[in-house]
Amino acid sequence: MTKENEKLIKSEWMANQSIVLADIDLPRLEKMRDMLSSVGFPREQILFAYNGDDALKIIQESESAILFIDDSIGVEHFKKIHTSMKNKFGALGFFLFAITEGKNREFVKLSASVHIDGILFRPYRDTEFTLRITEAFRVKWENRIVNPGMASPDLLYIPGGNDPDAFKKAIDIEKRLGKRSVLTVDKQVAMRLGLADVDQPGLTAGKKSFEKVKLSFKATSRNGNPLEKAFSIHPMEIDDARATFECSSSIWEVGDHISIEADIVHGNEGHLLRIEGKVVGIADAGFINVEFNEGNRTRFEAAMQMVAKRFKELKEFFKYAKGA
Amino acid sequence: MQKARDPSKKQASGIDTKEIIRERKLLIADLDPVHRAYMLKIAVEMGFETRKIIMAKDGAEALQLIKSEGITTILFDDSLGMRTLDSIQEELVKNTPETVFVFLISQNSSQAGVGRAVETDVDGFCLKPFSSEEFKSEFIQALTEKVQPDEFRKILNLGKSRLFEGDLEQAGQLFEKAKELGPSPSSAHFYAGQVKIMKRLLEESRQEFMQGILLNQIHCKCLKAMFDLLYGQKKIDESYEVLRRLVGVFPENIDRLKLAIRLAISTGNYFDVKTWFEVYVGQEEKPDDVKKHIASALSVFGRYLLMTQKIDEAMTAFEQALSVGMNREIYLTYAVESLQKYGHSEEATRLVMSHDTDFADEIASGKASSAA
Repeated sequence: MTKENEKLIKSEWMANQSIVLADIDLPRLEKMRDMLSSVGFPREQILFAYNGDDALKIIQESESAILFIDDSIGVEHFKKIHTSMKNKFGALGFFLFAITEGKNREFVKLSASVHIDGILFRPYRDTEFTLRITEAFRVKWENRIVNPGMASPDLLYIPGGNDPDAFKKAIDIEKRLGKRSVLTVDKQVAMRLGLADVDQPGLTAGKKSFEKVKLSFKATSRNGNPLEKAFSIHPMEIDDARATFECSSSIWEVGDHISIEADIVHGNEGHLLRIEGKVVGIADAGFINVEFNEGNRTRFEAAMQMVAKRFKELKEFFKYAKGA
Repeated sequence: MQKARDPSKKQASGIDTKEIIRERKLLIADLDPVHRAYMLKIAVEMGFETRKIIMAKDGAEALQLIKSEGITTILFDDSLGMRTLDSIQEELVKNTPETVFVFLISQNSSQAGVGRAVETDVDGFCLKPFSSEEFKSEFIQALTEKVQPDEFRKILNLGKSRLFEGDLEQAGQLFEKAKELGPSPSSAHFYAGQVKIMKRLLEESRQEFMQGILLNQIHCKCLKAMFDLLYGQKKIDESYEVLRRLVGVFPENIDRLKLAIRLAISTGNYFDVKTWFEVYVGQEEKPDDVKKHIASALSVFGRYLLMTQKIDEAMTAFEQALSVGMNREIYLTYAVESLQKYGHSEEATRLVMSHDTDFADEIASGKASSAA
């Protein structure tokens, strides 16, 4: 190995790169790894693929743009892997070397026709191998153009997604089931599993299943005098008659009248309202106890009923879904 | 937020609730110091002795205290994160199950959040904000049920112990007995199914999970076990039917969502992708691979919609795929190619112009030169 060769594979080129070696023969893979690491390919970034499916999977699921493929992997997988890399990185954005004994004419023909970075014929001398590889990198690395070109999403995680048969199947399912909710079943399949449509109160799917009950409160006035600046008070506990709020302000005294602006929302139902109360207790740790015994409480009670109903649904969901 | 009975009074079973908790050490694990202090007050009101209450401000401290103090009664606030709860429960597994009691307090009042709580092994659960009387009542009820379980739970617990010891025959018999005791004994069917899986009686275990699901359509354990069994047997259509129920009802799980996205496409249930996109949007964390999954599925779905002549819905699907923000050039190219293939060149140009200004400029100059 010459020092010149060692310099050619620069460490900055290999940052975030992995190098895939595809061959069914483990001793050959190990030998190739030794040769590549001797000229600067980071040993820990060299991955082995023992068959075509493994190689394709690694190429699709990682950012590997460097592949050495042996003819033992087979022509069909070679075609798929080449197409995958071309789609992913563009025709000039990846490095692909084919290694062959020369007996598989189809493999050699394909290697020549798809314009890869090199064909190496086994047996080869170590120096010949490393020289060919390092030369290819020296010439191409700085000039390579990573251009994804036309790629199909099924090459990115949805295997078979573009398969015409999959589309046919989807048409059949759409005709048979329409646009069903995920909480309803395909009876044809579900009957074998004990599944039926979900009718648990308050259970939803999709966006609605992430909707939270939001309660926010602001103190707006004390004893009928508006506060200079309304401030948030956080409920530690609350029902429609009383609450304990976390409150950092020290202005409150027992017996004070407090006006609170409440914004209580769940999904499309929202209640923005004012509630009147009386401070009935003050604790050292910054809590005030308030009783809602003044003014018209009808709207507040309605809002709290909405909250109580939703909380009850969720608690029942918890108990039911968990089982004993 | 219902009004609750006085928890300090004796329960119907005759157990003095304060007697149950007096001897226990309690760990209050909560990020918020104000809330910790508040829960301390409530704990004392419930009958815990102040000197036996220990407080933790983060997950590491909670875990350390559980190990060093041998605490098995935990009041856990989800401000410390559900992953911390998972770690705590992993640690608690080392103890006798009957002695462990974990009560979860959560501010996440969404179905997704509660669904996540279902998947933990907590013994009780309360949403914030609560009324203190209601909280005390629920805490004590859950603790009482744990310490003095009803006949169904007793038999079930015994069966679980036998199962974990590897005594499959005895465990199976106990679960059979439990099935006759509970009003909705899905859990007994679940464990009976586990016994049968361990005996490699796969069809019989499927029957058990099916019985559990028939009794309770959202029984999380039975649904998960049924999915694992079917997916392991490569029964893709059936396993997806169970998976869509799981992800629909318990959406806060990234790995399940990724699988649901893939299987929706491979089983031809393309319209589910719309729901899975909503579920994706709802996730707090969105790793790159789930982004690629959903963007890819939306793109394939868009192409399918074009093929079935639903151009507006197709455009929505392509726009959603691009909104994910991963590999935008790939999805844009795919959308444009698909639109052109199905004769919608104007829509293709419009899509390019709104997502790739450079390419749009090229198109514009191309048009200008051809007009000249």
